[in-house]
Amino acid sequence: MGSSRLAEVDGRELKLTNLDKVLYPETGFTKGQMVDYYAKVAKAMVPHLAARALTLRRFPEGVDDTDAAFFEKRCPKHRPDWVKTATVEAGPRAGDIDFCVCEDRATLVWMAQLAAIELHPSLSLAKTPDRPTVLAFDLDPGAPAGVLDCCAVALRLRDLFEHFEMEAFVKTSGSKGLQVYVPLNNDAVTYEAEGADGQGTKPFARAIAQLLEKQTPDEVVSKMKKVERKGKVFVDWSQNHRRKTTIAVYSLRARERPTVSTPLTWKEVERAIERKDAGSLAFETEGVLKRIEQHGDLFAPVLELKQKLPKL
Amino acid sequence: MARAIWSGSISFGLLNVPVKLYSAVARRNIGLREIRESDGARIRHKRVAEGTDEEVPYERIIKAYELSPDTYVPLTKDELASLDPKKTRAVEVQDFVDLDQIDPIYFNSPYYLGPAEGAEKAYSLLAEAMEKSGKVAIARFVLRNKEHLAAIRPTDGVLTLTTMRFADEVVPPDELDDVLPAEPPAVGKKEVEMAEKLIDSLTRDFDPAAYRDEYREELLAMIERKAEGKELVSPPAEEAQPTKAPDLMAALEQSIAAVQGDGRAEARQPAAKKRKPAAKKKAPKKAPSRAKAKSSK
Repeated sequence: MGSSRLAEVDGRELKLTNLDKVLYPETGFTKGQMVDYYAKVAKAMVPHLAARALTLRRFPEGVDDTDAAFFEKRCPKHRPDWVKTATVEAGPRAGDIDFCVCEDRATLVWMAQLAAIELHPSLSLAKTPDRPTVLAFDLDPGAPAGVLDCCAVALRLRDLFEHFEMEAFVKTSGSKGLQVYVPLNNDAVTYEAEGADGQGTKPFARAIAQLLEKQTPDEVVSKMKKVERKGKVFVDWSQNHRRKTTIAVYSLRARERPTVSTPLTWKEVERAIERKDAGSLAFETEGVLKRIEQHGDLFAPVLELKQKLPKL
Repeated sequence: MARAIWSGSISFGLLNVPVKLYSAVARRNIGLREIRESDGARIRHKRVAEGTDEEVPYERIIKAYELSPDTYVPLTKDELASLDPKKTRAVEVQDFVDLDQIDPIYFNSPYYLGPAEGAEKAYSLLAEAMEKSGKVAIARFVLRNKEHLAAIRPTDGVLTLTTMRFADEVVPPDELDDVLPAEPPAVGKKEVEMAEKLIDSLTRDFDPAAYRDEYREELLAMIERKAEGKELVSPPAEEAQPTKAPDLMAALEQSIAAVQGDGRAEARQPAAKKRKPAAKKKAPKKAPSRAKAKSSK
């Protein structure tokens, strides 16, 4: 095939194949364009993946053929020897699994070569799988609610954490909703610890979601059941779990168009509501690279800011 | 907006009409999950090597043809891929025929063809010309690695595409000669007349809406009845612990009320402002240097 070639990425040799394969039939976005995007976004993205167990979502036949798509936790055996892995317990039956770990641009490009459109990292580092570095809320709108409804809930989350003098950050999911991340980066935090002075992200996130639902039951739902989500924003707290993953910042999504999970400023969120402009919050690959050039990595503080969950 | 599942163009002679393909069938089947009867735990299927419990990852599984029992001809993914039809984006019209010459046994799945952006005029022109001629186009195209035969016909200015079975996919009745009568047995003239009368009495215009999937409706009704009657099975997971969780929420609520009540509400604004410049400094400036340090390591 004329579309495969050997490439050198930061001193690593890689065989890239099927580069002209269309992954997004709606726009004609090819695997070659995806490889190019991940190579360019690597500098901003890799720090957010580094040292974490990664789950790949691969689409060998493109985004439309979901029958061929699959989630892959076990790092493929036929990987180059320089691709790093980490052994993490993945459940009572799955046992220990060697996950891929992405520490450099070459690994990211290799994963793009596998048609891994979506990268889903753990909220913890692989060496401390019980300690999340961040508290995450996934705001998922149930139609006819949309991203602007998610914006309103995200701002309430920001204000709520401001009460506790904590800073929160927001990104698009790259799909329909938004995600709010509260950086923790301290050793006292676990996922599960219960109780008022516990530092457990899951019970805390669940309490926050329930509080939002109690304040505005017509706008927010905290329960999983799909039937209850219609016209409301589902505040998904359950991703704060050692075996769950959340879409990586800067990851492409397998949607109609090559949209990316993109960090936003709170001002952009406020402005989108003021102008009722949902479209201003959807970014594709080119737009994301331009934003990084202009603003740097808006999500960088998520990796650095040390914050503690409040004692209640 | 409906989502196109394929895009390409209809071509015949010098005419080339860019089109998009949409499914004409709404999936109406009810998805049922498998759970363990005793406690509602979800059932997962695993691919394991026969005779062992060892799970086999996707990339280690290949297809094989079973020549004789336990003798396989393995076919790798690459080998199979090399046989895939050439990916083309063309719906190549082979012939135009009369619709009533096509036995419905050849029809498979229906789709709609819509015009691609900018091709609206060419599309309407083709639809109108086909409508006037009263013909159906027989075409070939490649969808999901498989070459398909299709019939394209216009209805009220919209082109529909129905995939068709190839002739050798359709079983001729004489291959079933042990079940289907080869020689029709003799029947009485009166009997035929009576049957004809019965047919006449049941004859009406075809109304597709008159026939409904009653199994589906009954299943849905049963699900609704059981859901209302709270005959639900929940897995032993996650949302349990109803006692502790509300406590924490109440504590959270009180804590926020306390913050707002003791005059720190005013203090909140400056506090937020105070932190903002700090955050700004961190975000854009530090980011690139940090990323650089990582990637060069």
